[in-house]
Amino acid sequence: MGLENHLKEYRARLGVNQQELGSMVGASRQTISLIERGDYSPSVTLALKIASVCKATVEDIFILTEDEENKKEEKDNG
Amino acid sequence: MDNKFSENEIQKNAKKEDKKHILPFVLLMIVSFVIGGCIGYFGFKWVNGNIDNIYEQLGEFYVLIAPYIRLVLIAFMVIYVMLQITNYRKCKKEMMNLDLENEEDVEKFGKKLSNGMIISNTGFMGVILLGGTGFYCMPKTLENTSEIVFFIAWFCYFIILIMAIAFQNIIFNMSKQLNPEKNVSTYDMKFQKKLIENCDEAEKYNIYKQSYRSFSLMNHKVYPVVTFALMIIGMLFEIGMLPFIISAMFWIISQAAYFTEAKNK
Repeated sequence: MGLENHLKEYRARLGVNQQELGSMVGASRQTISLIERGDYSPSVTLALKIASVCKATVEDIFILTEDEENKKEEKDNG
Repeated sequence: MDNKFSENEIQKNAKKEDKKHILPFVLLMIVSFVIGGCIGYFGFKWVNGNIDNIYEQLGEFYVLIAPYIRLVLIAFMVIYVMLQITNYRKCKKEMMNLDLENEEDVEKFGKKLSNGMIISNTGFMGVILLGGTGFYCMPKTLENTSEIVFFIAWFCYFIILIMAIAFQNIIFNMSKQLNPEKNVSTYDMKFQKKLIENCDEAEKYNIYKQSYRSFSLMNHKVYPVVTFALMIIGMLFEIGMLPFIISAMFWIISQAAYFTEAKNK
């Protein structure tokens, strides 16, 4: 299962850059960049902090997606 | 939203941090130089009295390269300085036009900084290797090269050493433009410990991943191949078993350190 996120959109709504958002949640600019690109899945703690700062829920910002293999398997089984 | 880095503030903090730690660092370098110099001087005096024994042990390899080692060191300095200065200028230019919101810009800048670190580390390790080799070859090189070359080579040795250390600090301070929260100095004796403490979860994850890959490469490929090769070379070319034993020892220590850490966790 993959993880998509709308962090960039929420950050734009807040009007802060990656460095500023990182300072607000106790992470580095690099980590925020990795999360936005989907190259890193944050821990529960960090995801909760990000959601709190963005005034949203974790599920609003981070979305679990089924990958293509799982979808194919379900199709074959169903 | 200010996407450009605030150069003055970050540079001021970096200089402040460096000033705190540079004096103990320089003192340590001076003490190391004095101790190393004394060991080298008295070791050389001992070698002079026992030169034939030393060359039997070193083998034909050192006798072959002895006349050229200082010229290699001088050439190495020229190449190292050119590469380091060129990289520094490119990094500086990239840093002045850096847009932190542009991923491509940031990646390009990061890669140039990494190249700069590789160059300075290569310079540092290369000069240690060439300097050490030159020390062993000293009796033969004194016969075959002029005194001017001798002094130029020593001058090159110190230039590379000082530049490599200084550029590691310069490049690390430049990287603070991307990560200003990493307010540590490379001159701090506890630099490694403080750097890790300053890292967040994603950075620690990357460090641990890279460390494991490095451990895996060394222990599953490099050490086995080098140890076995040195065992064969030792038998065929009469360099003795010491290189094989040292390589095997490092392999064992690396494995033991890893499994001890795994057991403790």
